[in-house]
Amino acid sequence: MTGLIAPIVEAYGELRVNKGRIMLALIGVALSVFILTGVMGAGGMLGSALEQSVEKSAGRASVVGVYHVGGGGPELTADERDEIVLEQIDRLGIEHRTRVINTLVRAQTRQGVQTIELQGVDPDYADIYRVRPKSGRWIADSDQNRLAPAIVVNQPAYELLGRPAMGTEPITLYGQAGNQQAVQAVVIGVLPADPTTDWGPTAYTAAGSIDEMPGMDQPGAITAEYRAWVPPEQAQAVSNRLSQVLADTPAGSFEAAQYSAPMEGFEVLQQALIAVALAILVLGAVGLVNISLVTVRYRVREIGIRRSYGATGGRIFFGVLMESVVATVVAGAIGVMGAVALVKAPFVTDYFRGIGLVDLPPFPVGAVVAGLAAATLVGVLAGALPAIIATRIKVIDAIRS
Amino acid sequence: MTAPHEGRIPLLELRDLTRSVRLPSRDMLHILQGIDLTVEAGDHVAVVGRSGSGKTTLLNLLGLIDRQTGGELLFDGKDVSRLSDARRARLRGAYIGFVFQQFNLLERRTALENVMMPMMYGTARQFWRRERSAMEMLDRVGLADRAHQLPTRLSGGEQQRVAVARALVRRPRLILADEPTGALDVTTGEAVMALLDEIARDSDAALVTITHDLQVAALSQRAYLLDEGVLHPVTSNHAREALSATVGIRSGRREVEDLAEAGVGASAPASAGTSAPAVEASPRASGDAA
Repeated sequence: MTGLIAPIVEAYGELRVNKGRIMLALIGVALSVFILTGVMGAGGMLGSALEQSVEKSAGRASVVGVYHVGGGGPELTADERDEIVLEQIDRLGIEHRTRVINTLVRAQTRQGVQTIELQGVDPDYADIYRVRPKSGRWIADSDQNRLAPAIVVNQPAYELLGRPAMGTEPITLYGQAGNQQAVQAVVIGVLPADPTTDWGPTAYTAAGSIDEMPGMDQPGAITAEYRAWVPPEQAQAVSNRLSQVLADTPAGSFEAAQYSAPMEGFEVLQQALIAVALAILVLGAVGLVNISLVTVRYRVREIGIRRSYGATGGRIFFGVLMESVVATVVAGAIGVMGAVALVKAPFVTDYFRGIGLVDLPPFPVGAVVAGLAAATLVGVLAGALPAIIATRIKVIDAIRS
Repeated sequence: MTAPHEGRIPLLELRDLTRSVRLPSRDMLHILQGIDLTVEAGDHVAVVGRSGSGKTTLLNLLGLIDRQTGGELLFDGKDVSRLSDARRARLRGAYIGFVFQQFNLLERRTALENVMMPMMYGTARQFWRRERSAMEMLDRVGLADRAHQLPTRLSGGEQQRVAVARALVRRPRLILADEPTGALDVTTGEAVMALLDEIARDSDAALVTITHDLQVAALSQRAYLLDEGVLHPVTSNHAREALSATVGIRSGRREVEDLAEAGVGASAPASAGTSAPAVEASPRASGDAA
């Protein structure tokens, strides 16, 4: 134990005595680690932002969609058809699934009569599509029993409707045809503005209460599909299985397909950024090696004196190596802390939110580990060469120098 | 050749030791030739010689820093010639202390840190007690109150006392002093030598001093002249003549006589109550002297 502690104590003493010179040498390493960790951390968060942005429109990366492709008798109600399909989905142990029923309704607004896209969904839709109201709340199972259907609207729809009071002020929705009965609905939640998904006024209501909406009794008014969020590695198997069991049912024939595509493009971008950061790190390491070599030559006499007092070659090697490693680990820690502080700074997180990050992820642990590991590796590499040179110093020549 | 102490193993024994180097011209340069020397615990031996005579090479061999090209070097009765560098380093750290002419203190380290330095390479007990041991040794050389001063803030004499404290902090059995007074004025040099002699005697350590100062050499129990790589006891006529004629040795003829007659040399009684030292000048050296 003393054999390990003594070189560390010695390395610390060396760093303390030469802190000015060493700090200058380590600026490059700290900066490199800062960039490496920052790029990896920000890249990870940016990736999450893009992923979430994509998922808001296309669903999670591994969503399986089930579509009605034909067949089925008209004698079955929508509820009966849902029961047949959802039973098969639930049998596979899938936790998050939703029905998606699309229709169009009209509303009287200050700008005249406007068409709003209305989707009947289940509560899990919010998890699958990362939907989170800015104010109010999302749809719950109990909402399908309300007398006045509850709707959640996006920002454009909320503005069109004249910003009605949440949960209390009824709005009137009309069907596409003029003779259909109007329905009084209540806005219970508003989604945050998002330029990437706010293509037009959109509203969501509970799938169980979509039948009460105007125009839903018209033939062909409903386009129904089902979506399930499954583990990525199981998506293909789930898709195949559902296609198989739902190919011929009393409700007709269904096909299942993986809905979302992986974001390969972003991974390439992130790898390119990491490659740039590593190149910077190598440059920092080369600078450190250079300074370490000069330092060892400057310390020839001191090393000779230490060896004359019993320091073995191995001890000198380990001591010089430890000086480098201790210094770069400290520099790396500073670089990592700087990168975390920057990426988590309010103006940066605001930027991430602005480009669509709903769930702000923590700073990627992998980036922190990579930063510290890179700093340690640089310390070992930058210290090894000077340490080898230090062990080859001849004691006699060193003392005389 | 005399047997100094029957049945007692000498601390250091050199047998026909040779150190040669090959010159770029492919010729061999013999720095040391046929050195025979025995040093026992408590001995105080001086080696004088002019610049280039091989004094420092001899000291490096005694200190296990350099390796001989011929002959044997026994430390505590064991041949250390074939030990690995690491084993020699550990042996050196444990049993040998160096005092250099230019002090060789570590720059930007306080006196205390300089004295603590050898303990970093010692046993676990020495490592954990390094500060206390260093303070005790600084107190012993009268510098406890300057423990936290950098070498640049100390006088030459104080720096050499710090170097003495550093050499002795691990309680070595052999102290090798290379021109310990070379960078000091006469008075300070005498004080440092007296201190070194006193501490070495108290700890029963052998002291080998390399010097060109005959006054310093006169403090030893035995003195040798190293002339052209050959070791001569100062009592020999050759050594006396060589000493008197040597340019660069800070002495006059009278001091040479004093050195030879003051009991410094072969079979001379030990001074200051130490055991009688034995001198074994090599047959070759004796022959040369004769």
